[in-house]
Amino acid sequence: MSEENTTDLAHEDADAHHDHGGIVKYLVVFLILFGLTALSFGIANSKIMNTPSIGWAAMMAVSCAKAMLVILFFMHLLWEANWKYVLTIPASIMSVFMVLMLVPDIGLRTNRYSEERWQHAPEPLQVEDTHHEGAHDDDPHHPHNQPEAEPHDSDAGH
Amino acid sequence: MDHANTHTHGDHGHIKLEYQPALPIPNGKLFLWLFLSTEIMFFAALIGTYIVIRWGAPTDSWPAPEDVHLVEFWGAFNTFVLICSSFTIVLALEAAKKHKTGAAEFWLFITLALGTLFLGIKAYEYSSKFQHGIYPQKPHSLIYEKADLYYAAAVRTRLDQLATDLENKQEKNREDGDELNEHDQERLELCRLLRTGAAVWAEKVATNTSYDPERRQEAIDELAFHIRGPVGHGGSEHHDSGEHRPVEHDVDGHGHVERGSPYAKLLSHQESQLLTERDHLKKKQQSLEVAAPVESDPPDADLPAGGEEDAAVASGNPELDQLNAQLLQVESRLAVIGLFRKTPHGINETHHLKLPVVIPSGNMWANTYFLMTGFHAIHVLAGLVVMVVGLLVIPRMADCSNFMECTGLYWHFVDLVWIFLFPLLYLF
Repeated sequence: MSEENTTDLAHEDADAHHDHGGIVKYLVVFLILFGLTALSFGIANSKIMNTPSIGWAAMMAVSCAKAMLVILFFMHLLWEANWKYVLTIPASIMSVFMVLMLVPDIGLRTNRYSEERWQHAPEPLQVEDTHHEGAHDDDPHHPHNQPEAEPHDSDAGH
Repeated sequence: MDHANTHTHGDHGHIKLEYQPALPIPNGKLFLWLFLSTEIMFFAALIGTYIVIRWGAPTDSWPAPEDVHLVEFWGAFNTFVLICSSFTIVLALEAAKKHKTGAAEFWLFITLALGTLFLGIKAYEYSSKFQHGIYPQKPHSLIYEKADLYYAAAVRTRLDQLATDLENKQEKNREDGDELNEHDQERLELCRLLRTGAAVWAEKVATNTSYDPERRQEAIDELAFHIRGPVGHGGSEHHDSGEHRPVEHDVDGHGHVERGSPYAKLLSHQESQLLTERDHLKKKQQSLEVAAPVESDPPDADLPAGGEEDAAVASGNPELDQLNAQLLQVESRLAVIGLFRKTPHGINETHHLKLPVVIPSGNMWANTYFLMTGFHAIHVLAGLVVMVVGLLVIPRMADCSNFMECTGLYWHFVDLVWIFLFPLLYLF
């Protein structure tokens, strides 16, 4: 098979897809995009959201479908030559990889939280001026309420 | 015919080389695709961060759209606007390829108009957030994560600030021989009332060690709730016992709490407890006054005069002082409960005092929301600037299809980002 890869032929190849009625396919894509947007809005307000993960997966699938339509048709990539893979595949790999990298240390960090940490993380800074008498009595993690490791003057400044 | 390796025969030592372009596309298009791949990484970082922050937040604490005044409809409408603009810019490109410059300019202009509409709606959304005190960061942000004593103190401080501003205005007006107008006068009284009957009340109950911790925490929870207002009908997972909070159908035709609704019953219950306490205190007051009659404020002042509640009555008897202070507190609280009956949608909504609100994970939400939509809006703006330049320059260009193609690619990318942002921020 002879591979003709010159500029002229590449342009010819692309032009062959553009006839006078070329607008129709864009119109169809536009209507599909509109329908998909309405679909994702519908999913968000439907009973599917009672199981949130399924709802989210469905909405992400709709988003990916919309994205593919825009990329392939509006951005014309369906008709472009193989160079499109050089750009899109590494970028997609990197973006997915970036999210996955963050999941174990940050996304799943709360899986190992104790109950107390859930209730009391993070603690605000101590502001001595706004202390009220017994302000922290219901907070078991406050230093005033911790078992005394060393003697401290509890009368001072409160 | 094979053009790939042309060299003329018979010209020894003089080989004619033919330039082979690396890719069969114009330089501008190649550049733009490389740029878009960097943009993909840019937005992937932002969106990825949002994903891990949102799903790594404490369970069920992430605010629902109604908690943060996010209206999903506008997000959906914006999506529709951007999709339309993507379509119109494709039409512009098609026209440019057929050398119909007029049509190309027309469609480009429509795209510009739709993009501007997108930004306008975004500006409206942002302004509604700001009005409710939702900013990306403190100190502007009024959002507190927990209903604790810092929050109650912040509410008290804000009410003090409002009252001081109004009092200063009153002073200035009095210098001119004038008084505050009715609206400001009402606001001043409202601030003083809320300070004593809501903020300080909550602080006093919360710091009273003779109560159990639940009751003390609930005092501040209640304060937070009354300021913010109820969540939407059906509630969300992070609010407990629905019967203690009014939902939409508890509001009657006048915008007051419906009589007989569970919430009205709760308020009545609190009220009757306070009335009992008030009677009890008044009896004690009378008995003390009989024992040692002193000058004191007439007991028919239902609302406190404002300022330090402990200094409201100066009598020689410390016990009587304390009693009067307690009485003042109870009176204020009763008045405030009457106020709560009239503000089922929350004090901030009804009276526009911009008091601090408690929205768990609210600051994180605001951060990520403003960051992502803000950067996206900046990209949209950049695209609009390019389009304006295009509209000016195209008439002078022989063939504008390259320009149109590159602008189109950028604009489609902006649309793509929004296609992902919309469900992530609005629908999830």
